[in-house]
Amino acid sequence: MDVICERSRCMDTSYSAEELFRQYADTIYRVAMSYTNNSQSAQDIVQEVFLRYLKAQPPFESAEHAKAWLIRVAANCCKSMHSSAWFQKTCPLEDNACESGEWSASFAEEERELYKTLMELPPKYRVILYLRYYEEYPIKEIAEMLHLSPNLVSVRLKRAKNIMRQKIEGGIDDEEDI
Amino acid sequence: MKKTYKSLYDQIELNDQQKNAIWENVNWENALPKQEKRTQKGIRRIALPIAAAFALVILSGTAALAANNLSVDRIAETMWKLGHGFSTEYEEVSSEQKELYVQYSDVLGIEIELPDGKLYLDNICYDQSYLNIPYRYYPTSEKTPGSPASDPFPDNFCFRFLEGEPADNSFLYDYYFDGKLGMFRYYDPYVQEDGAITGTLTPYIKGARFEQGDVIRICLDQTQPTDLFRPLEEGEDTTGLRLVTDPWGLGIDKHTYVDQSVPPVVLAEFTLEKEPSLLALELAPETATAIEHNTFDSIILSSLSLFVTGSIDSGNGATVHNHFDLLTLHATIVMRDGSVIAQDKSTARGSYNNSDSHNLQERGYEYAVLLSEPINLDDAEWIHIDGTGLMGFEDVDLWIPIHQE
Repeated sequence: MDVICERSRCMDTSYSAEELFRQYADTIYRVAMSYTNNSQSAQDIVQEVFLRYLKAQPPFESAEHAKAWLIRVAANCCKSMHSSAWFQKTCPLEDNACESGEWSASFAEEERELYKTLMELPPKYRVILYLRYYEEYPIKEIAEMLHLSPNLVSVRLKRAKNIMRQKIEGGIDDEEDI
Repeated sequence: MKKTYKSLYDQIELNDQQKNAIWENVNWENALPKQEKRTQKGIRRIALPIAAAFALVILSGTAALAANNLSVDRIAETMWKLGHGFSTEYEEVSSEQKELYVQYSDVLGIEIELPDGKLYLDNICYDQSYLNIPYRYYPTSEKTPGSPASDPFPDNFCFRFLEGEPADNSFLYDYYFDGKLGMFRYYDPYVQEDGAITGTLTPYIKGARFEQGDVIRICLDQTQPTDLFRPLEEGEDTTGLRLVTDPWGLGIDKHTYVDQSVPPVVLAEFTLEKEPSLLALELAPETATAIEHNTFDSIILSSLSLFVTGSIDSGNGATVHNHFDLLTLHATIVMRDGSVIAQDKSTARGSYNNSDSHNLQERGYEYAVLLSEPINLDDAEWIHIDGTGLMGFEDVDLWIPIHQE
């Protein structure tokens, strides 16, 4: 059991920045990868998110609240990816991390094809897919995180699944499958 | 499929080394204000604009004042920081290099009232691919000199061409709707001695787009990108509505949407008056096709940047995803004196110039990158591209003469 969850149960919500980082860096990295498909930019975003956390030091009601806050900030950072002085690496518009990412070497063939297909989607669709089907957030919470209306999130989700269905045989058949 | 999706994302993670490096950087950046050398560094007074120059529309409705001369040092410092990072202590460039920057610079002299402060855009430094606008921003609520700065611009602050660009890239990127330029916003990490937040705005668009005579507007968008279009409801009265189909250019969207966009507020506009000095290389056919599966269409060099267009095919009927590494990451400019000028990879921008999902085996591409320092074009001799081939392609060791002599 991780530190954050234990602490959440004890209602002690004064997480240290490093605890949050160790717990959620991968989550933020995945969100950023969903947007950027560029490992270096995604790492920059992880850095920027936790810098913002250190500057803001918001009080969190729960571990889930902390996670949602970090994802929301990550999404904002991704949208205005180049607004920070720390983001000196202006991300190439297309940099398929699948070809260069160290982690992608472990992809099975099916995963590799799925990843490539995913990365052909617009970033705004990818992140919604990620939040819905990996993090399993409900539409309403995704909408709050991304500053979108729930209706628009639904539309994008549906649109993303339609595209995936066209690209992958037998891809998306219902709301629960992708 | 959902299982595959989860399994895939399970593997997308940072390793311990990356996490440690990021965490160290976070702590380092966070601790910077405590470092005396940083609080004393880079704080310089900048002359205020003194003369009226451009007629501007500004929020307050008052006439704008403008600087009437080039702030050469400021341009040089900004361009240097673009290549080295705005958190890096500036090392003054040579007078020769400053002169090269001046050749690509012009007076802008724009003063804009923003909701929370006043913005001064004194100068501009640009070529065909890169448009850099150093700025000074004075927040209404005064900032303590030496304290950490933050990005002062509202999210809806943007640049647009007066005449809109085709929205051919809207499928992939929101930036290009209605002539809206993408924009990078950089700022110095600390508030300056006079209370200003400084940095540079770098609007961009695909390709070598910026040309003499282009009119560019500085705007505040009044519509959130997410609110541009909404689906037309069944049976809805369409009187007075602007209807569009396939607004995101997906090619498969058969629905009708209502265009809800409203015109942006124009804060100011300026014209690119200078014609930047460019050198389009003459590419012999054997040079253009010297790299396996690649064809260079054009290579354009300015004193500031390198711009390449071409096309690439996968060679095996498979989808072309990304080969910019192969083409560009190892490109350097070799000067006549033997010195080597690297690319500033942090400013590299690349994109495919088509999004035809039915033909991904051969794709055109564009690539632009700032040079790590300005060059005298007459003294540049070679573009050297070398590197180990990716995806099974041949290794590359290509020397392209810059001048035909």
